[in-house]
Amino acid sequence: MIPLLVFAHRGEARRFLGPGIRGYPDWGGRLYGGKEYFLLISGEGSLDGALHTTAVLAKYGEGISLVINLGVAGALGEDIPLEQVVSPRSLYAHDGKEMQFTSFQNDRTSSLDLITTAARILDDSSREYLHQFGDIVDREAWGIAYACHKMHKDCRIFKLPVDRAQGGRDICQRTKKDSTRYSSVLFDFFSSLNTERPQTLATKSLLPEGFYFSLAQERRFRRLSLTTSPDTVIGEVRRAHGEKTPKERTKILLQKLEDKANPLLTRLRGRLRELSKDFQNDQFRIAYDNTSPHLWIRAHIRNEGDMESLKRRLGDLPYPAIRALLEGDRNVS
Amino acid sequence: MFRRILVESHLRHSPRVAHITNHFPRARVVEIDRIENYFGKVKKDYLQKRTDLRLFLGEKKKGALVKEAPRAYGSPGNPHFYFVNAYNCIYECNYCYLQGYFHSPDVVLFLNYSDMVEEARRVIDTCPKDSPPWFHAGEFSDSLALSHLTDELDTYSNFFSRYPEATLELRTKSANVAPLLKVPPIPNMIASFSLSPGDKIKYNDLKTPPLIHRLKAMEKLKAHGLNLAIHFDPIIYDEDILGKYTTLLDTIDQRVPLTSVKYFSLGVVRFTRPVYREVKKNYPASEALGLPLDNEGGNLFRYPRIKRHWIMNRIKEMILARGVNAEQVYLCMDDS
Repeated sequence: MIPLLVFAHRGEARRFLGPGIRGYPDWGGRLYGGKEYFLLISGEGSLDGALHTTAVLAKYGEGISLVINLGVAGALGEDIPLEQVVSPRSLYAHDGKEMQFTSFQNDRTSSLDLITTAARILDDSSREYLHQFGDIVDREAWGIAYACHKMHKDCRIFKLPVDRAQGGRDICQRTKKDSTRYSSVLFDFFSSLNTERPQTLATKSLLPEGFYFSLAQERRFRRLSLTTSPDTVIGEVRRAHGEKTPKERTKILLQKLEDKANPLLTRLRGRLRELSKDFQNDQFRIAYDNTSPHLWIRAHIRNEGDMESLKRRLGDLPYPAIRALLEGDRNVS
Repeated sequence: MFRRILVESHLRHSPRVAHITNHFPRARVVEIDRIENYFGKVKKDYLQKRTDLRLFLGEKKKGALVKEAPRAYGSPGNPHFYFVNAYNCIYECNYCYLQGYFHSPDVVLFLNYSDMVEEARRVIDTCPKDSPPWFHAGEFSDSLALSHLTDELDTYSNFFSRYPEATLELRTKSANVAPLLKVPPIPNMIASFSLSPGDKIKYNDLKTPPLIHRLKAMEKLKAHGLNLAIHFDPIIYDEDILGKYTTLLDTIDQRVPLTSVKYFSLGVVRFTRPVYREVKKNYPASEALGLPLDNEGGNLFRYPRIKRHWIMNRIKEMILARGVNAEQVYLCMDDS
């Protein structure tokens, strides 16, 4: 798998379109590919960024390891050095009227936030307003991140602040003029990146062999693995229950891990079982309510004999002790 | 602490704002029109508070300044209300519900305290005489941590000295009690401290004062003549929980006699769904997540009921065994 590099403008991508990078004919000069990366020229704006990224991911997503957006940006703060690539912390969006609530996390180690704006910044008051939310502005990163979020693909954003976002309609021309230089800076930065999939995702599904986990069971297993070291228990279950199906083994494994992680609850539930053991069989069952000290009794009555049996068992059921236990009685462990 | 302070323009030159901003000479002070145009407008990463915490100063003009507390909030028998005097906290408790509440870690201080007590007066007027209200000032923020900046305690003290039937609880994990020591103690103002065993504070109550500092603060307030309360909330289970709470109770007792504590509240760790999601994201290795939590009714994650009650009853028994009356101990937010 290789990354998909997304640029808004061809000028920003110039250095990346070297030998070995070929255009995909059906994509109108937007999509390119080589051995090391796909390359998309999305066009300017959040909508174009999102639409074209989604289209590429829909068609070639299985071969794409992650999406990387590289491009120029404007700096809102005077203290932000120009022409140095930054990895923004959070990605916000301004839709032309107000800030969008939805945001994306890009790099928790960074201290700069990026705002993707629907329009170019042409006056100081807009600049000052946006600066209360972020430090740099661009036109497409949020849209690309949004597309990746929806398509369940990792995304990284890297921006090269090239001006102070002080407006002026000639900014486009100036940026275009210097695009070769900017593209080189971005290319050098990209060359220094390790673009392998993040470790957390690459190692996502290391589940023990010989077990079958549903999604909910997998979550439970991962959570329990945080507090118990499961290896010994896995080995025990494998040895003792080798004849069982993987599904049955998983159930046993999770119960054992739960018991190990939570001995108090195991003891409490064991005591409940003990108190009701003379009542319960295949015909008469007790269930406990997790939100109250109430219990449910289910009985299968086929004849008067069953009815008598139920009465007898109910008479013998140590309800006060059960109730006390459910209310936190001390005589349990 | 604060990199940027955003002040509503009409307060920019108020002495209170100047007093606050002077404490942070390196912070950039920016004038804004209204806090609500900025705070909470975007979803911010909670952990951003570690490196880039902002402070908003303004007045709350929209919405209630005093709100009714949810059921089972405080000691039973009285109606409970809380002041909306601040949003968010400078501390970083890894179980804190604020991480899933405001979608921003930035601290907001609403400085119109006189409006707040005026609203409290209206609440007092509406409550039956035999069931006077309790007010809590630490629902959305620590009551004392920034009190040296806000000077709000004076306003509260003056007000509650005129309404002795009502009670104010200042809930805190802070040791910043100097401002409270400056106001005369009144019987209906209670400083309540959230306490946990020392190791729990170290690993979960990040950036808060250690247990010993909180206990010393309590000792000073006690000597000053103020009523104290203790919250063991959240209780986070581990296999040595009884041993740890035994030690904790003994340690407290050495500094502040437990029998002199006005009340104790107990609660186990619990999360609503949005908070649970945030805690998993922000503190995946937190011990509060280590044990299975029941998802009751789809929106509340906490220990299974039987375990919850076992834990709280054991700790309650320990408190009672040290001479505290049963009426002084209640279970917080646990009415099932």
